[in-house]
Amino acid sequence: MNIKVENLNLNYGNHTALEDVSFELNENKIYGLLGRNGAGKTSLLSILASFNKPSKGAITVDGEDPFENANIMQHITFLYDKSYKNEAEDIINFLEGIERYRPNFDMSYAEELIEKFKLQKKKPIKEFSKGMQSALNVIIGLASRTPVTIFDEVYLGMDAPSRDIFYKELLKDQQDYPRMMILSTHLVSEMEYLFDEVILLNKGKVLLQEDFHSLISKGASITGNTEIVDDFVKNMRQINVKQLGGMKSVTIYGELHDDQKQAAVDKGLDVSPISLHDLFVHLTEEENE
Amino acid sequence: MKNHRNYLKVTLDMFVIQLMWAFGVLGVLLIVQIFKLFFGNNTDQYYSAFFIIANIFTFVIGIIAIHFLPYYVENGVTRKDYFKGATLASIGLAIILPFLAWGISALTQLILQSISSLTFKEPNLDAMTNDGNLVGDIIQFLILTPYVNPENNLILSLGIFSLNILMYYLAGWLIGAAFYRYHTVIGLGFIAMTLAVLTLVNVLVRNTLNLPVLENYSFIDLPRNIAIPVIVLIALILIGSIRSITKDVTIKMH
Repeated sequence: MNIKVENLNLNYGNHTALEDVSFELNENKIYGLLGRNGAGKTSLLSILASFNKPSKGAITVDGEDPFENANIMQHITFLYDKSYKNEAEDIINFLEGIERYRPNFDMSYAEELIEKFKLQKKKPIKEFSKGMQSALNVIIGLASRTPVTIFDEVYLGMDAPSRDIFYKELLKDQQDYPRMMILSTHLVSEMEYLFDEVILLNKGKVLLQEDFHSLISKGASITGNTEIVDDFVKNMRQINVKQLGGMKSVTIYGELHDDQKQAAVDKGLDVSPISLHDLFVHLTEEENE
Repeated sequence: MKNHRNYLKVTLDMFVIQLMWAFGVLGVLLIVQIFKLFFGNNTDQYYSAFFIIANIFTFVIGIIAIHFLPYYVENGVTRKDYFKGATLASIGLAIILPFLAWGISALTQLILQSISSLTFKEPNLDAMTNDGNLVGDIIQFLILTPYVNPENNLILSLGIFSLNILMYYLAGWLIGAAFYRYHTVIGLGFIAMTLAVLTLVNVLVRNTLNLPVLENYSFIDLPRNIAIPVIVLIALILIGSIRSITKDVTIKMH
């Protein structure tokens, strides 16, 4: 499938939720959509899922507008932090209802996941705890096996072992049934190993879209004597600076070639990789300053 | 993969769920009727008793009908398929409910007549008393929709019953849709407008059937060949308004 977003804008009254957002997704990969609170992640995903219409710009899926398009909508699943407080059905009946509308839904896989998450089959869904309701969202998302599957902060309320099951199942099912997965999250450090590609959204705009490994390789932390560090990073893009007495640690963002790394080591500096979490924090911080 | 049959699935889903709710109401009413038969003097026939409750019931499930919309869009069904499915389900429900009420009524009557000498009251659903209480009169008029005794003309009786409950369902659905999409104040405006429309339909059907009309509305007196097309037009306007409110409505996430 191909998702193309061109100059997308979304306004709520005077508030601009999305501004000139453009990007393209082409492969069956796991995309991480990162952004701070209010960055516009959910707004963007809700347009992709036809919950909402953009104010300006276009979004196309395989060249077609997804809004009110039955052939596209049945292939996109959007799971979000939804409340099931009025859902009196039990989980099996509820999933059987969804199965009717999702051409690739795998009920036996759903039942397998129900066992793994230890959800009670006879209990009305409205009596599920927050974490159990989140697990239900995960089950719907994975078992629907739609070519485009979007998880928007679905792990909320799930405990660490449940989140672990989610991540493992996500990777396993993605391997067996490759599709376009979009994971929107705050838990960057916990989930970064899942991403093949990262889109960073900030204040309604796309800050960057890059392959995970190439993005990570662009960030580095240079630590050492203040003067030597200052001299080494003077022509580089510095996204974070920490001063510790006579020592300084600077986080840089940009290509750092092997010879540059060697030069730094020769000068007695320590060059260490940084995590996606740190890059996310510093890049959005820098933009917001 | 093409999937053009979603609206039929929605029709079946919504028809079955709402019919189950209706069975609940029909069942409770049957128990109340049996209770009244044994502990009261006499009682209305089941058919006419359900006739009154059915308007309120379909009005309420009409209001709830909008809450199926987010469920369907979340599961990849278009607003259009939801609309078509829900409309067909409402028509199906409007047709089957009077039959069910009539069937239960006939059955209970048959059983009672064979085991006892209990009789039913002749329903008087046309008591058009104007007691000067404006709100009371409006509400009474809205509840007492035009009634035709099935013993006089079964087809006409069932048809008018169906028309009444379909109109109440559509009215409820329109109000629900307006509250879903717009601000509460606009929603309240829709309530007022919809109640006025229901009153108008009530009067027009009474005009058509030569039934008495409350004095306040006696100025509306259309001949049958105009009243019937106007009723059809009103139904179409209600359906068209629901579609226009829901066709690109934003799905709320909560």
